[in-house]
Amino acid sequence: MNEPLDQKIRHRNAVARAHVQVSRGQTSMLMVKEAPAYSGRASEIFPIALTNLILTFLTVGIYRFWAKTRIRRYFISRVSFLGDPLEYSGTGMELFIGFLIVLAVLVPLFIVTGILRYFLERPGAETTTVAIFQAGYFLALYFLYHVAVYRAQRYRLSRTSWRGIRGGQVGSAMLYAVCAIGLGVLTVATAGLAYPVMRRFLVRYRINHLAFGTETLQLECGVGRLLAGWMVPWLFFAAILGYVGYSLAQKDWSVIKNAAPDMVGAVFISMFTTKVVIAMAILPFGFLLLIWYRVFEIRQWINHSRFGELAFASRLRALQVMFPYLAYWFLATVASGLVIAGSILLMRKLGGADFLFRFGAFSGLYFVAVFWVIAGILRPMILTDWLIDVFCRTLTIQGRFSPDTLFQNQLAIPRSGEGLADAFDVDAF
Amino acid sequence: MSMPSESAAEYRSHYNDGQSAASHAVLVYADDAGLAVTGDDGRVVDRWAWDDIRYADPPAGNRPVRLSNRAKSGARLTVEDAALLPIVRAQARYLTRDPVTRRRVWTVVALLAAATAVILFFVYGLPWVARPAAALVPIAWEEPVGESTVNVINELFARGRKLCSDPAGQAALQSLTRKLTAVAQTPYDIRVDVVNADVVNALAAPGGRIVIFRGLIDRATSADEVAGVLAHEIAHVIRRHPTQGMFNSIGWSALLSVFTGGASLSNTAVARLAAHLATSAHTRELESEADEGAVAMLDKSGIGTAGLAHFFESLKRLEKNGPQLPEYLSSHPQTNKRIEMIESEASKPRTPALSPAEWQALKAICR
Repeated sequence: MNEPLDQKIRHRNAVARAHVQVSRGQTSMLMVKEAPAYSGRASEIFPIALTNLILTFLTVGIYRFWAKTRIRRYFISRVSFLGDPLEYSGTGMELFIGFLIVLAVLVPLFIVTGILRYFLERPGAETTTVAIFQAGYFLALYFLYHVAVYRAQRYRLSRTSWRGIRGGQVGSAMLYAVCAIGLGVLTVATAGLAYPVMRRFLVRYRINHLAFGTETLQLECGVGRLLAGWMVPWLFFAAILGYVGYSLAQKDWSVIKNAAPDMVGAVFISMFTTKVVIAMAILPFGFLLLIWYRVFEIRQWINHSRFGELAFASRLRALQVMFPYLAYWFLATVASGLVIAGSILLMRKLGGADFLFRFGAFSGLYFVAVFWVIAGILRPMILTDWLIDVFCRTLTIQGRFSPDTLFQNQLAIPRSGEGLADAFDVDAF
Repeated sequence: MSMPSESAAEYRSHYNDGQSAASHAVLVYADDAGLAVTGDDGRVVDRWAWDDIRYADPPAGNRPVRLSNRAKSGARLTVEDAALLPIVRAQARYLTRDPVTRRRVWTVVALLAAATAVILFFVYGLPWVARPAAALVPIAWEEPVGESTVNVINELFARGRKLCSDPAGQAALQSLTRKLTAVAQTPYDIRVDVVNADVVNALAAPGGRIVIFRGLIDRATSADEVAGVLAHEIAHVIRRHPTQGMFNSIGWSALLSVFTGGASLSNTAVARLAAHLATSAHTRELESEADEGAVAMLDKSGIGTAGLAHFFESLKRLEKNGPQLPEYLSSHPQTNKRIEMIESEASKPRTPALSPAEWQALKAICR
């Protein structure tokens, strides 16, 4: 386990400060007020995305570790602060080795649970046994997921540097995952009301253990504002679900049991009055409120974080996040539609269109493949590029900063990375 | 005024020492050994050997080129004077890729070995383990699984119609089953159901359950043909192939879900195709085994193999009208090969599979 970061930092600071005073006699203090600059260009992303896609396809997915590394290296190197770019030095091989390690653990686990599920989860099985098994299985996966998130962040930070100074992460992934389970149970038990409490704890744990050089970030953020913000989507969902649930509970459901077999569907539908249907129809708009809350949260985390004497401020708005997603989905759908329509027309001309339709499963696979290819190329070019750009533009870093006294951390550097996160598809970036 | 001299050309750069985030304006000199970094007072603060130098980022457009040093983690040199770059490119041998060290070679060898071991395990080891593992499963465990499998198949194919249950037809089916199982040993209490759907197929489920589709009985020209197919499915059951197949598919889906990284839509489609390719070779083997078992059973019971051979002949005619998959894509051996196998073992019928009255009853089982 890591020795406490504080001790390490103090020791390191003392040694390095002495070193600086001997060699230079003085340190420079900068007054900073600027946004990180982002200089990514779609025309540079396109060849990376295209070759990544082709190679990933040709290698049945194995190349994705190298693909991820290339695209990450690009985006991270295009963000710069005080004139110097960030740098990502992870390698595809490290990700691949991490993956193999996890493969050796997860595949036997999945096989054993798969066989157990096969015999346990059948109709007429003892419900308590099944419930206990399913709960255990779900908790194990939830636990591993959080371990994966934490470890992946540690790996990425250890490979990200600025002016040669590495990031890093202390703290325990296991402790983090245990807390995540406890707080997850609390959130479920309070019908989602305690969600901001969970988020605040988990995000604070991750941020306060996030080091850059010898300095860690500090996030001090009260739970009150978060709860107030969370009320917006929560009340929306509570009101609609409550109304729908209440209206349906008023109905006499025994009618369905007594209905003639061919009338069950009609009787079931008659339970839903126009008002209930309208209420259910506006439910999806709640997801826009969830996006709004997420962005609100991001502003809270950023605005209440400090790094030494540097403070952060974000003016990110929910619409600025929604637009890239809309643009990306719209373009990906339109482009795939055009390609599919074009290929059907072409095949009809060549007399092969019926081939496409005779093999229903294969044509379905073809449609999925077209969308996969187009989305795979457009996602980094439009979505990722746009999101990083807007994130940087709306961020201000302000305060006193002395680069001379920000020293390299001596944290242990993980040798392989992200196997678990990869297995759980934690992020698509 | 400084005289321009070939050996002492100086290049403006920025230098990070890897110890602190300070950025130092430096002058860099190039010589045979590498780069020398000098501070404002002219003192050499760092020396970089040519073979240690590499790009910190792949160079692109007019971005300043940043160099890092394999031997000095964290140290960076940002080149501002582009005149230095041709010299660096000419001298530094490992700018883009690391030198091949013994350690790297061993890593790659170990990775290839591990990958091969994983693939070999899933292609050969898993079926090999599945066989004894299937033998360990108590038959009582399989029964509810078989029950729900049969129900699901009936729901999928019969569009709400119940399993065919004409008593005389069932009696005929039972007597045929008994004739075949009498000459084989099995702990299963084999039960055959007929699903009311126009599909020419039959299958074996766990727990000794066999499903025959009505379409197969409708198209069959004699009871011997049905007997041949039934013997094939019974052979599957006796060898516990359904349970083995279940173990295999769980193993593959576990591997592929981890391999393709989560279960997004595209990955699922690719994974399914890969799983199909990977397991079809193994199922072909099981099918051949069941064919052999069926031939032995038909022979011993005196029914003879002509019916099974005839069934495969008509299957061949059906295939001619539809697309023919190459053998490696198909889960069954090519029909021609199966017919050859059966004919090489052909035996003359000694007793009919069913009496004419029983055969009529079986044909009417779904009424």
